[in-house]
Amino acid sequence: MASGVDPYREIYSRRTEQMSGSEIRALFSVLERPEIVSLAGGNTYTDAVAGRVAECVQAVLARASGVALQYGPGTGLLGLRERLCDLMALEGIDADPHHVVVTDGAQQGLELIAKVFVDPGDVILTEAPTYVGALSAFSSYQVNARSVPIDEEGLIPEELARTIIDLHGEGRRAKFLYMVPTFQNPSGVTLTPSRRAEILEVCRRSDLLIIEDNPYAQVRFSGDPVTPLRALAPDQVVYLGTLSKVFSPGIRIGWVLAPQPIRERLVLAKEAANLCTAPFNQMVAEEYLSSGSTEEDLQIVRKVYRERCQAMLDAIDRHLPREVVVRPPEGGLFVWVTVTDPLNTRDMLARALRGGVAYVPGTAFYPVKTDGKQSMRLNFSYPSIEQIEEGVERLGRVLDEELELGRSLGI
Amino acid sequence: MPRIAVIRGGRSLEREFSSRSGAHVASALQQLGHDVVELDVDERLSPALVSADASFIALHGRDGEDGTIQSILEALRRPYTGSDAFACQVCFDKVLTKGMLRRDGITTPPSFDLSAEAVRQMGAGPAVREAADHLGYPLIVKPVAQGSALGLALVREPDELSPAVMAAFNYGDRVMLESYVAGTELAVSLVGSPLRPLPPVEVRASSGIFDFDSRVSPGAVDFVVPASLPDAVLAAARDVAERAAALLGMRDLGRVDMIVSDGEPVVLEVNPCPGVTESSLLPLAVAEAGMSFEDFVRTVVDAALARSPVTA
Repeated sequence: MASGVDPYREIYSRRTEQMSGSEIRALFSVLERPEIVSLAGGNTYTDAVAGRVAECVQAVLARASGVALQYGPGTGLLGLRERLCDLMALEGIDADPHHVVVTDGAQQGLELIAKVFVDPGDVILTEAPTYVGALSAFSSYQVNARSVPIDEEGLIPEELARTIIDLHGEGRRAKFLYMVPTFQNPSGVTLTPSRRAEILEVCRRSDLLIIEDNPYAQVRFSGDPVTPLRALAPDQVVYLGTLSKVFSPGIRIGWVLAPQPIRERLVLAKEAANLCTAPFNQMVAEEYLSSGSTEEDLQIVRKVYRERCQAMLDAIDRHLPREVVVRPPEGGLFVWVTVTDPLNTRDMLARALRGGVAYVPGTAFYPVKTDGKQSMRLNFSYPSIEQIEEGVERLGRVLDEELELGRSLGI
Repeated sequence: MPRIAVIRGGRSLEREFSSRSGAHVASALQQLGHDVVELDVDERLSPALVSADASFIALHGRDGEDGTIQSILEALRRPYTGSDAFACQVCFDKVLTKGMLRRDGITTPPSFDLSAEAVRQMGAGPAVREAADHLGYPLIVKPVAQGSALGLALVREPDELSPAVMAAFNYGDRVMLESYVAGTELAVSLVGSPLRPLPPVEVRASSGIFDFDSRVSPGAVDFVVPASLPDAVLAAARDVAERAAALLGMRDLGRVDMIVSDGEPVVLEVNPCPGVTESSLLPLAVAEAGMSFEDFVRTVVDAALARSPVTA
């Protein structure tokens, strides 16, 4: 008997069994089409920095091409790590460059954390919903991801405590709690200061390590800054940062700030993964962060995001049915929209794509794929204001059609 | 060597598969020495088609399988691979296809279909449940005009019916309810002029149903060839596929999907422009038949070129 399609399937590792394909990803092939308005991505506004990249590249090549074009240390270059510590200091984090590992985006940081902490079947805790890329990184290490619900103030401490107790009752203990406390992806929710103290206390009592993923702190466009968990409890938190929202996603620079014993293992894991993050990219990033223009550029980015977010909220108000629930974010890249029965955003995606608009269904952000069917994530950082208006208007038509059909079917 | 346009990508939700089919075909054509141009569907398509000696249609779903591109090429009087516009329109519509099959005595599961307009504006919502009750559970709900099993759902009990129907309407304005037939799923590919059936490929989906999810999830489906059925049954499957293809006017290439239940082939649907990616069913059958993929592409393109010039 010859088995078709994949002659190698007998020799794959068990961990690849959790790397499921995605119907959503396959459908998103049509996003290449010009007629589709995509509110689905997570791309950033890079026009503000684009003009400075050539200067940074030339400066690096003139200053130190010998370093930039060679292998580098697995930790990342010291000069960049120092600038990253300067960036974290703006948030109140007192970081030592020797506790930092530079990674290929924060995404690689998530991968390394899973590699260092997780054995097959280990339990980890996440917010529900949570960042889809984290679920992908963790699932490839065969984790048992348990989710803890959030509300408009972020992760619910009582639910976290209850989950920990439940696990204890099963004779199990979570390896860590993964969270995006500020402008959470996908919900846009920020964990309130009082909740931060409560979550830290629950985790301290249970000796539960927190992985704080903080990619959006620098793109706050309204409201007051909130102190990161790492600044409040350095020994309880492993912190992930990224230059994707500060400089550019294309440069692929992220980092992990961790207590020294953890950092040592992360460096070993990093070296095993890809030796080092491209020194050339690291030096270009260092050059940019040293140029003195970062804050000026970020102000432009924040202004653009504020305007686009407002345009999206206005368009939602004009075009979407009254029943939808929207949480206006104070920063980040996304608006989280929740619809009502009988709508199912995953099933509805096909109608939306046929109608010329794309979003990410809520199911993508939950470990259990039947959760999140009534939510969707809309991106405002990348599309223009005109595209946002057009995209939301199209989405409104899709929702209207869906609701009418549901009524007619008696659902 | 003739210049061949490969039309791939397109506007349908099957764009991903089409892009991969097109790349596979283009590579084979280049190995055969053809001058190849790859084209997507946009306003530049029709003018570009004129400069090619023939077009290989590697589009799936809307535009590529519903007769749209074929009609353009017929109007331009340019030769192209695969079934003509009329046959495509029939094959893309599962209601027309099943109706023709039934009239010719080819077994296909009992079914009903309803349009969104009937449900929304003619009070046909309750008719959905009536139809389902008549067919019995479990049953299949799927769009009338869609490929790659997009929008297809197995409905095991009445509570699952309305959500499945609503989901299927997201893929098109008409939805079919069809009796579920348990058995061994076979895909019979056909190639040549006239079309000849290749060895049937058995489809084993771990979820029990060969839906879109299983098509995009690595390891979720196993294709087995030769199929694990008696030779007489496989011969009957090939015979039914050949009859169905001839009846529907398919040419050059195609695939007939069926379930073998109690030894009898029951046709589910036909594909006038089936996937030809590196992991698709048709290339697997081609290989089992002892042909290379390049042999298959040459056969199909030669058949198209032999139809030049195209006449009305």
